[in-house]
Amino acid sequence: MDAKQYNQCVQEWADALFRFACKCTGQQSDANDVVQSSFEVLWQKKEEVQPAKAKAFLFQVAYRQSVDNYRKKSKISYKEAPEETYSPANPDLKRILDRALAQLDEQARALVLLKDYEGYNYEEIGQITGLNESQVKVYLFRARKILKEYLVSVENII
Amino acid sequence: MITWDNYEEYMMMHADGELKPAEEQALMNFVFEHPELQNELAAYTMTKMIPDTALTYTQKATLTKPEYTTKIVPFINWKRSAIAAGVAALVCFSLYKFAVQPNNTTDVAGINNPINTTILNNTNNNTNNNSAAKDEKPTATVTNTPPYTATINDKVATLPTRKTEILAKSTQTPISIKKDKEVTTALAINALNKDDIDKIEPIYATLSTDEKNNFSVAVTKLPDVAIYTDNEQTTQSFLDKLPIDELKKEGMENVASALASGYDKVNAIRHSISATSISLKLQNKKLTVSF
Repeated sequence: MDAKQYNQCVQEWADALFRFACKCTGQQSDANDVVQSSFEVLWQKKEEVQPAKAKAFLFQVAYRQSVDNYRKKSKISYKEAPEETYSPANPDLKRILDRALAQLDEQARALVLLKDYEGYNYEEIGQITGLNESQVKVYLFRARKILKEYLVSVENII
Repeated sequence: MITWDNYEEYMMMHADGELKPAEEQALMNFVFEHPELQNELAAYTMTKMIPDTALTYTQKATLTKPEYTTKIVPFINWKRSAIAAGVAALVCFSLYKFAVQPNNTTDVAGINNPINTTILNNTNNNTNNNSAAKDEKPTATVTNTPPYTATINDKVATLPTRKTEILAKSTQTPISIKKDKEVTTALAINALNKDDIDKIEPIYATLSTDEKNNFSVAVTKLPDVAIYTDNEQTTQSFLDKLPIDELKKEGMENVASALASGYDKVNAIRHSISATSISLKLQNKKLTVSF
């Protein structure tokens, strides 16, 4: 991978990586650090990483750093005050989903994000997270069940 | 086969989009048969997170790296370039060898210097007058550059064979002596320092094997040269130091001794000419003798 291909990766995947990091860490400042570190590692490993595998490599680095960051801070304030300033089409559902996502542990959250945000299949998620396909499937099933129960409980309250 | 035990797994896979078309159809049929599961299926579908594309990373400029474009220049005339490079390397090597050539080589009898020999008259009488020689052009001179360049660390230069032959020819073409210190030719000089040069007493010799021809050669006496070693000092003839075989050394010694002995004879002739008030005049390759 040369500088041109690296810059192309920045243009294509920086936003997605930033969104993923934001959801994983819960803080935009931490997400900035994760993105910076991920692309720095990619630049250092540019001779080894093929352009087609650059996205998976970036999310692999970001996943590890986000999980580590989350574990170091030990339950950061993600649950209390999401910092999103955007206005989605359905702000109520979006806010509920964000709160539901905060109920998950860092690993389950990352798996859901990789699945829903980036569209990776179970095998690809396993390669990024270092889990096997069955583990990914089980963890995702548990995560979906938690999210579903949260949504149902909220709907009942609302 | 979808049952009450695994329908949630199928619903989760339906939310993940991992079901195959047949499995998808089987799930729809199962839900259609059990309408109470429709809300649960909708809840699983709602768990699918939707990325917010409005959230972007604004510091991409800090991540990008400068792109250096490389221009490939075709190397078409590589043969010509290779030849040019070879010639340049050869010139550089020659200049280097010339620059590093040791400059402390002893000037051996001016052998390495050009010898200008001019025989203006070698067919007339074998007499030569010193005064005439001063007035006229020298009849025959062997001119060398100044004989000294030696130092204590000097090395004896290799004596070319061609120079030896010139000296040998001079014995076959004897002419009169011209005793002139300014044109003194040193056969071989190696001194420890410049002061030693002044102490060298030149020897002038003439060979006269043919009465018709005269040849003037001035030869400097070959001094003994002190060779210093680490612990002792030994004295060795200069000829012994020359890097030539013994036969050539012996020949050079014979030439030098012959020239030295012949000098005495010619000197005697010159004195006799002076005593008899005979004047010699050399002009246009003609020697005029006046009584």
